Amino acid sequence: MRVARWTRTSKLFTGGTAAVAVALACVPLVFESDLVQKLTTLLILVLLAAMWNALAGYGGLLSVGQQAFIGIGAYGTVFFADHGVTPYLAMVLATLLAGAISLPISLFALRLRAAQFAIGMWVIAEVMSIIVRLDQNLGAGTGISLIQMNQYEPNFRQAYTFWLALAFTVIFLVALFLLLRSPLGASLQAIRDDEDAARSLGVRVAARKRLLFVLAGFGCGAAGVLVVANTLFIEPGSVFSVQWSAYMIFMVLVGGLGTFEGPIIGAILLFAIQTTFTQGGPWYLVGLGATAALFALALPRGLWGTVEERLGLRLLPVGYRVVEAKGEERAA
Amino acid sequence: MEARTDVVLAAVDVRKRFGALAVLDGVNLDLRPGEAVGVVGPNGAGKTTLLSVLAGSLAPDTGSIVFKSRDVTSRGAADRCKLGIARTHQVPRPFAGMTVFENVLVGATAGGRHRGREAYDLCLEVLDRTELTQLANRRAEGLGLMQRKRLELARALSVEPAVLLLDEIGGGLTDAESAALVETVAGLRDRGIAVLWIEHIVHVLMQVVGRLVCMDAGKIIADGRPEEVVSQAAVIDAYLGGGP
Repeated sequence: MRVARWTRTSKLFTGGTAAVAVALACVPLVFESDLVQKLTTLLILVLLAAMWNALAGYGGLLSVGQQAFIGIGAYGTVFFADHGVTPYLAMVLATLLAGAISLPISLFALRLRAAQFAIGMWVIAEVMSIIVRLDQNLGAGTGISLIQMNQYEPNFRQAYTFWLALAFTVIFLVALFLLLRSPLGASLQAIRDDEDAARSLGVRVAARKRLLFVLAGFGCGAAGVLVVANTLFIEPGSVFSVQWSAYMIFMVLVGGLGTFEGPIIGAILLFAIQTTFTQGGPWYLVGLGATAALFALALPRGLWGTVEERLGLRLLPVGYRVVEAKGEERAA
Repeated sequence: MEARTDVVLAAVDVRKRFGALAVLDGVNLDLRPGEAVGVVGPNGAGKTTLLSVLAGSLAPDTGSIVFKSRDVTSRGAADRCKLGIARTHQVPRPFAGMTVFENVLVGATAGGRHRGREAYDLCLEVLDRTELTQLANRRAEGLGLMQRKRLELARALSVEPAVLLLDEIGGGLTDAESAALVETVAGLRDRGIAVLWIEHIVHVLMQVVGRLVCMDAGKIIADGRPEEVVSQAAVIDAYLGGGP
């Protein structure tokens, strides 16, 4: 017997995914900026879903406060740009800032358990929101524009922002994919399934959770950067809104918690719903909540989790298959 | 008592209370390399609690745990596993969403610190020894109870421990299955691994252990050669509910 990780299907699909990424990179060269802006929104959703899934699906960390990092990314960009940094460099710096801040926050937040952690993170996000509201230089409660973006011609700006979104999404998804394929990946999935049993097999649960928390800090920071780059105006009430967490939970639960592919599908679905029901409003939110609850009850594994279970299909392989070695006799 | 340097794992005057109940009431126990020790006692005697305290998943109120002459009382379960103490759970706790092979791989990589091909080969060998090879690609949630118990053992073995703590993995096995389990444990013992095995089915234990410990109400009431321990009045009382 030997261990195989790739199958023909998964090789084809992973190759196909890479091809899609390359094709997406060409979109701004061919299509209208309206579509480019919409696709940027989609990439932000994919990134957020993947990060929330990394936290909840592998670390068992149910956060309703990831908007704290979205806000740090968004306001960090404005802050650095106001201090004379080129906007796109400011965006990279703001992403690094969000990731760096996540480390000290983890020292506090990861001491909390389950519901305490969820609420604790929400409190942290609200505190950040209040700090911004008190700072006149950041526009206080009324919001602020990233005026430095005016130096770019709108079509180019949209294209640059889209490419940055694509780069961030690819970087974070590839990082998560490689992490899950590494020996640490098995440990992370073990934590997802049974934390205490994982501990008794030598998994340092606290350190692994910190790794995921910081990764998600960087990733959500990057998403916040993209929000301000895409909309050019932010206010504390929206970037620090708990609605972000609701979206993330929706995408991950519907797509498939603890699967690599599921959250991407969930993000595409949410994006489709958002573009269809453009009016928004309370009923749209009620609909989202009801759908998430329905999935939790009827398809607890989400769309992809169910497909994976029924068909044994793994497109982006983070797991292992034991197969018979070449030339080996079939075991009796 | 023999020289203590020979001892691989020791519990020294361990006490643990849950509320008003003294679950462990001053337990002293030594394990030597290549020694298989059986633990018997009525329900609620503190057997599983002792195992959890040894494995580090439960902290004792007082007393200490010494592994290879190092005090490991303050070290958590993960650290102790990396040092070489592996355990199974009475109620199997498989990683439901992972395959049987991936379950075992966690022990080999996290606890056993193996990487790549080395880890794979170790896992394949352990699966073969525990007769799980045919189920290697099955998600663990689909396994039956007996298969889950075998998986518990396989995961613990993949750590390549110096001390193996088994918690009732023999219950419900057929004669052939328990014979295979006895053979596995004997093999481990002969390779120099210290095995502590909690089991209700005394006649299975008697086939492999060289020493039997009987617990009752948080205390060790007998510790010695199996034939002697089972014939002691106190042990019979504890099981049959006589009492003074």
